[in-house]
Amino acid sequence: MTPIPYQHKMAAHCETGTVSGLLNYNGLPLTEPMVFGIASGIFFGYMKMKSFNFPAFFVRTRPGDIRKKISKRLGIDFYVKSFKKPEEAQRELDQLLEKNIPVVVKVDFFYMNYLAPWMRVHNNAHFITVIGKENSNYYVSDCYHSEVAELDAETMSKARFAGGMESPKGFMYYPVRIPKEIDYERNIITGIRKAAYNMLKIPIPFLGIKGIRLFSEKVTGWPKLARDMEHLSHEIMRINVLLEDQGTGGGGFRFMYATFLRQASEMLGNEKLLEFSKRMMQIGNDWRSVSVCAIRMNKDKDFSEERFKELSALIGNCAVAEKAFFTDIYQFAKHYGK
Amino acid sequence: MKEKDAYIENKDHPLILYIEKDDNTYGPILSGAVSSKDYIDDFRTKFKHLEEAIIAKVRSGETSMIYYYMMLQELTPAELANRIGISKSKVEKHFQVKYFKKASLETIHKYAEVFNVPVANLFQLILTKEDNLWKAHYVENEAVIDNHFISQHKTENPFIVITTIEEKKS
Repeated sequence: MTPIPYQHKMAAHCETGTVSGLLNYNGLPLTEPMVFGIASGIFFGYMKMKSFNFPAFFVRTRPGDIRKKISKRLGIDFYVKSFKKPEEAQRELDQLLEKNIPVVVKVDFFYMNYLAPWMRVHNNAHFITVIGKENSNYYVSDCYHSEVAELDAETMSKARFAGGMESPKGFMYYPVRIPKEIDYERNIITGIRKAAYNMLKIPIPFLGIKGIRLFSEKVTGWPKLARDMEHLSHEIMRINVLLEDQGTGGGGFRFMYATFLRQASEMLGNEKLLEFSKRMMQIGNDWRSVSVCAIRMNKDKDFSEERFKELSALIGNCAVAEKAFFTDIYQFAKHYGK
Repeated sequence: MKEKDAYIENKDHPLILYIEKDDNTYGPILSGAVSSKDYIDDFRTKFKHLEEAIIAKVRSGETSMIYYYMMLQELTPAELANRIGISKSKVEKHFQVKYFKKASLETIHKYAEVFNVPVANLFQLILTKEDNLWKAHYVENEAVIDNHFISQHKTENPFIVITTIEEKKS
């Protein structure tokens, strides 16, 4: 079969990009930042897990939460299914493609062999849209690839059934019902309020603003955790990758969130949201300074205590700015319309 | 961030950035990754050093190819164990040659599936000499040496891989 006439488009992030892409295909024009904002995607966490070689931080909510929140808040019904057997997962995917239904599947990013080898890491939280099959090859719309790619059925199956943390288990979804009327105003404000709540009020010491502070405090201890200088240099460089190059839209999703607030301001005709969007753009710049500092440390191979203190201070600045921002926007959202 | 400060030319690793455009609106632009533009050689050098150190351990019998692939693919013993479906301590034992040789063929096959390499590559290293340096290869790589292509091709049989050496016609 030829590919479904689905308009392939690159996006900043795979989950917001696939949700936005499928909704647009099904007649609901919702931008990637709007999906991110309504779903309260912005977040922060810093932790050490058994699955990671080194302490890690994340700048968004859990994989899968974006679609769930969009479904709940906008009243969109998705057909969602996981599988135990790869054969069943492939059969159902093939049947849907036969009916010209583009389907999003969850995969291990490592097996996306159309991307350069150095880009591919084991990460079970990648989402791609499958838009056709010819012989034993699937046509794939991947937000991180400039054109429609092909992936053989064996690799697709391996990617959909990789084990480990966040194992995809053949997970797939597509929208089956989109309401004719959507109350954007209520859902935008709810999305903002919940995001601010998550950043400020979750009583766990490594999440939200507390997580940024913890990152700022702990990063100075990284030299003791690395096996050697090259490992330390690699982990420092990863700060830049996680904030800028690994599907965040830049500044650790903060630029995308600023764009959401800007679009929300225009949609609701609210000047206050425009001010918030400008503040968030500045916070994105602050995170960009963290990336630049990490790049310079790696370039100069300078991992002295002073440089780590500088990096720590820059991260600390982000914590201060985000605390003030989310406190203000929480009050705005809580009292909106009253 | 302003558009002029944001744009990075990197066609090998394009990405979407949200920025403040020249007309003061916010929106996406097609840019490129900094890390793979300016630091890919640095990245490769670090991994090459890591690889060389592990190859030396593999050669001396200090460790197995399980450790080699786990380290190069940046997995942890816990995550690898989770993917294989065995305990973390068992994975750590398989790093040692004396325990690796006791692993079942089924387990070795699972390792190969996770690493996405032929089973045979858990028992061999394919090295090619390029610029007078030996370089290890995964199945997906195709090496050119002395006017010959060297590549590995999977078969329907999960335990058999065919390694071809083909003369390069100029």
